[in-house]
Amino acid sequence: MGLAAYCAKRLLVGLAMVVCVQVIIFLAIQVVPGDPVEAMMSETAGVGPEVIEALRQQFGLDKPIPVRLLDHIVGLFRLDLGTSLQYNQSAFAIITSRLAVSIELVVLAAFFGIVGGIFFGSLSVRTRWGDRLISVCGPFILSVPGYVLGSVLILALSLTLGWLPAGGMAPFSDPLAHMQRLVLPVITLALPIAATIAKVTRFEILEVRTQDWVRTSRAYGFPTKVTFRRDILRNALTPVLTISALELGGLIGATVLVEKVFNLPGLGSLLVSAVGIRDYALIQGAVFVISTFYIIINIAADIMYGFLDPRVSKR
Amino acid sequence: MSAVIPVAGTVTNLEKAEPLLAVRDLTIDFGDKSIVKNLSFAIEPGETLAIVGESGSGKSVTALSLLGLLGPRAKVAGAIEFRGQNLLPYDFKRLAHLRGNAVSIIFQEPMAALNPVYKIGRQLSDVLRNHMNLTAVEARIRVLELLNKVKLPTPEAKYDQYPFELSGGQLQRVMIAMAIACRPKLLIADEPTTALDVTVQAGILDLLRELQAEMGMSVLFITHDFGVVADIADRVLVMRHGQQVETGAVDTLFAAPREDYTRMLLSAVPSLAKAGYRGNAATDVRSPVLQLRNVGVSFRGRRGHVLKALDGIDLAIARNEVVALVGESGSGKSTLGNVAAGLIRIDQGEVIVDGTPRQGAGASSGLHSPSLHSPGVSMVFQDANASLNPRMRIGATLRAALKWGRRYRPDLDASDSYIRSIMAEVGLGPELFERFPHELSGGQKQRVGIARALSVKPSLIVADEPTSALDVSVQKTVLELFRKLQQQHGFACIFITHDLSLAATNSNRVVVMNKGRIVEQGPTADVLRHPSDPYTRALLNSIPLPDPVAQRARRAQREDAGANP
Amino acid sequence: MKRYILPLLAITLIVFAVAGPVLVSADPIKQNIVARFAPIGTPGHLLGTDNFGRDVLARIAAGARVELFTALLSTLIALTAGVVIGVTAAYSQGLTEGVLMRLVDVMLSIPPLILALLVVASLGPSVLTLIGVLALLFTPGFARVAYGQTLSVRSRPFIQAAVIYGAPRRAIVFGQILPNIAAPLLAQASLTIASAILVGSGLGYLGLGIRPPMPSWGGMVADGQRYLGSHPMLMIVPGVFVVSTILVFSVLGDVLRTLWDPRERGGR
Repeated sequence: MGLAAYCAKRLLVGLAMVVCVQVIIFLAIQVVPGDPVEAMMSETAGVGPEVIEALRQQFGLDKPIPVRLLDHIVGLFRLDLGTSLQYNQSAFAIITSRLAVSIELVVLAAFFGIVGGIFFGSLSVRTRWGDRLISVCGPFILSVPGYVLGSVLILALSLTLGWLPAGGMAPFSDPLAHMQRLVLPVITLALPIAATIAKVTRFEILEVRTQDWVRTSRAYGFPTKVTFRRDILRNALTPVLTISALELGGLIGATVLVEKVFNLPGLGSLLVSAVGIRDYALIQGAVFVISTFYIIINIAADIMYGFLDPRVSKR
Repeated sequence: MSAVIPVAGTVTNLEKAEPLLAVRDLTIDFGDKSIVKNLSFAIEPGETLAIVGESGSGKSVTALSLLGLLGPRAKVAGAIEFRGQNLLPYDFKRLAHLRGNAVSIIFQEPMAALNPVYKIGRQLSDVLRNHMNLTAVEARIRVLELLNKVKLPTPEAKYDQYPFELSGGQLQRVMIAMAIACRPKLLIADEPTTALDVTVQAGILDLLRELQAEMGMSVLFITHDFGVVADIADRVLVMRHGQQVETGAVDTLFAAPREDYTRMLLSAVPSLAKAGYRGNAATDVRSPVLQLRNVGVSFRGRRGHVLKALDGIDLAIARNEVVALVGESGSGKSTLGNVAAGLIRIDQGEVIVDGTPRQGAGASSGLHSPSLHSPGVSMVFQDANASLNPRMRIGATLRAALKWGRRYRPDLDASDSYIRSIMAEVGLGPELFERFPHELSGGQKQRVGIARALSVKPSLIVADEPTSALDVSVQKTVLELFRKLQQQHGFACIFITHDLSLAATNSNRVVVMNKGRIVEQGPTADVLRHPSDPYTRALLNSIPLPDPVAQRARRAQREDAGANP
Repeated sequence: MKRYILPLLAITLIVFAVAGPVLVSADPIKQNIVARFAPIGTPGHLLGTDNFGRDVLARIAAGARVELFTALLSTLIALTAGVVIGVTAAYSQGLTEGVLMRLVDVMLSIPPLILALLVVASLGPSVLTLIGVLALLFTPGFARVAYGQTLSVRSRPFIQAAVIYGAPRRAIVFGQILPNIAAPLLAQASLTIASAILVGSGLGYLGLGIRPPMPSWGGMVADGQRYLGSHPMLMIVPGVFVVSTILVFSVLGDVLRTLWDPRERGGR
């Protein structure tokens, strides 16, 4: 099987995955006792049953579940995620307006987390203090939830030292203020990623280092640096990539928390407020966008895996 | 330290000229464990020295120490003089210049010794360009020359392939190409053919001899196999517990070993020439223990690829009879053993055990299932360690097998006293009853496997390469035990082995397999003395004889045949 | 001695969670406007009081009960369900295997906290929902480990030996496979307790875990954050408890995994 066929297969599996996830989301939300309109209207006093009935028709809630599911899936392909009850606006429009900040956070945090993790992981194998750093700080960093770390950073760097703003967002048109407001959230998100990746990188390097081909590389007189880069790090990176893709799932979850800590207008904070008041179209839409993004990242990682390890794609 | 320590037996030879490599008082410690003690030897230009010993003798550690490949935990003392220059204490800058250049090395597992993520061509040209100033194009041309030189088929295609796409023998040729890339003066070969089939091994040994003659390099050959020693060595050094036992020219050492240990090793080597063949078993052929009729098994590989592991097998095993299944890896001999033991469903044909057709035969699935169980068949595994549950004590392991067996045959005795008597019968002391598998030696574990097989009073035992993981001396005692038990208890046995000389001394009948089919079968002595099938003949000819004179004669004969076909 | 420290700490935490409300006499939800923002060390309020004058130590103890109880129970459920799914898939093969493991893949393709939010959205926040969510979240992880371990144990000769000597299916699964996959699962369980506290307290922080005024550590951090400038201890105290609890269980998990992994023991 060639690389192209391998990629095509991964893409198809990914598409099937998106549909499956969507069905799960739909069922999780729609097939619970009580319906969303009632849930919403119960909070407002003095609404007659005919108003509720009208609303149900407006949102298509009177049709049987399979029909609604089909409508929903078809709607997805036309980028129609339904109407937000809360804003009475297209859920798609609301979500896209909130997307930029979240993507910025995830991409920056993933970049610094992965690169930093690989750097410190390699360092820990080669130097004694790097080893100490990873084995002492690693578990500690991994045990600090994002909301605690964020709060501590605000307390230390904003409130006490006054170096950086405590939260909120500035528009792109003011790049300096924009970047300043990203620093703390990105640190909060990237640290645990870096700790995990460093741990995995370290483990994999130690593992690969005992392989026979590393001995061959030494036995044929390659300089230590070449052996490390060509025969150790290169082979260790393949599993690191897999873990990185998995870590992004945790990162996306952490973004939700961090957006709340720093009061950022992203998709996560939108989702939390939507869950709070049960705005189902918005919840479905946001979860759909997030999980699709996650699946795409995983496919990309699989395809890169195919490039990195010929045994995967060539069989 | 005084001058040259004379190496026994070759004093005069050594003092004439300066040897290529002279090792004096080599001592290697790992922590407080001493692996090699005061070892001295020398290699002349163009000479092949074989270091031979059982596992734990320190032979591989010695080989790796010459290039400083033992890692930081090893303390290496003494002198390693290569062309008059002492390499000790290691100067890694200087070693880097030597490694792969004037001294190169090949390893036991060629598949593991090459980096799986780079193409063959890239790995070879990296080696060339590391020591020589070559452009990419020049390197490519040199690499293709090298691949031709080691007689790798279709070198242009192989250049762009990854290691996992080549067979073990092909990969060892690639490793050899890598080793000779910079025209070394000394080639260290650390068990280079141990992981390969005999026919492949013969090809690799031929290639090494040819290259050595052509390039005039010296070879240090590490092996545990006296057949290989007889084939390739000029001089031999026997090692045990990190020390030299004796050394000498290959002919004298084989003809007149001076030390008891060497004599013991040589006598433990199974040999076709010296084999005392067993005659036919006294048995009744009309009611076989196991009968296979037109049995076929296929495995589904990736992309719908179907691999026929067994194809049209007809075989009957009579009571009290030992049948050896021989063949190389991929011949289907182990699959056939697993079918007999009820571990694999068959796709075609029928299996009859003790006169009753086995349930579940015919269903197409590669899955083992308890429904295939035939009481009366037991098995001894190749990897004795893996065949014992690591979390169960020896006594409990044996008791479990008996308790399961009682579900089908209530007459079995599962009492501790019976288990202890069976243990005593296979030579295991009663103190081992409460031990865990990891507390036992390899030979003891295999005895537990034999005890388990014997305890359920089987009519047939399938023994799948039961001694291939053991040292020759241990192998000999385990096989002697097995033979004794077979004669006492009279069970039938399928003895699976890749080693024809073991088949010779341990079976009544031989079945030769190749590519999932039976190519030849008959009484052991007949088949091995007068093989009728060309594959059997090739197999027999590839086994190096543990006798340098006979092996030399055979090699001359083979080269003549090659010269005028 | 050193090897017992982690298990002891873990047990201490659990004891604190169980017995805490008995040891601390103060009521965790009783408000006392007069005694708001009492500093640490105030007599009668060892860890001070919060913005409603509630005793922080009492709230920590009550929160410990909630966080640990939900984490332990959900881990136990996830462990059981995951082992059943994983072992069944690996042992049965064929269609069952395909369906079960694809289901696990799909579950894993929704980021964990997002899946949790989804379930909370549909069922509403409560202790039961929390336990259910966490169990659902961690079942696929256990299924993966159990599946992989069973596959590797299943092909080992001692299982083949059990088959040959006529062991019934039950004896193979319970007597041969489970004891040999228990150690990695135990390590995974300890790591999962840590993750469950992480996610559970995160939901509490978002106000989607347990309904106030019942205290949760995450909720306390969220409340404390509002007074970060004036009374940072209200955030720091529950934060320290969350971090140290997660630390104990995750390091315990790592230690267990190291003990089990022969490569790390230097066995091979």
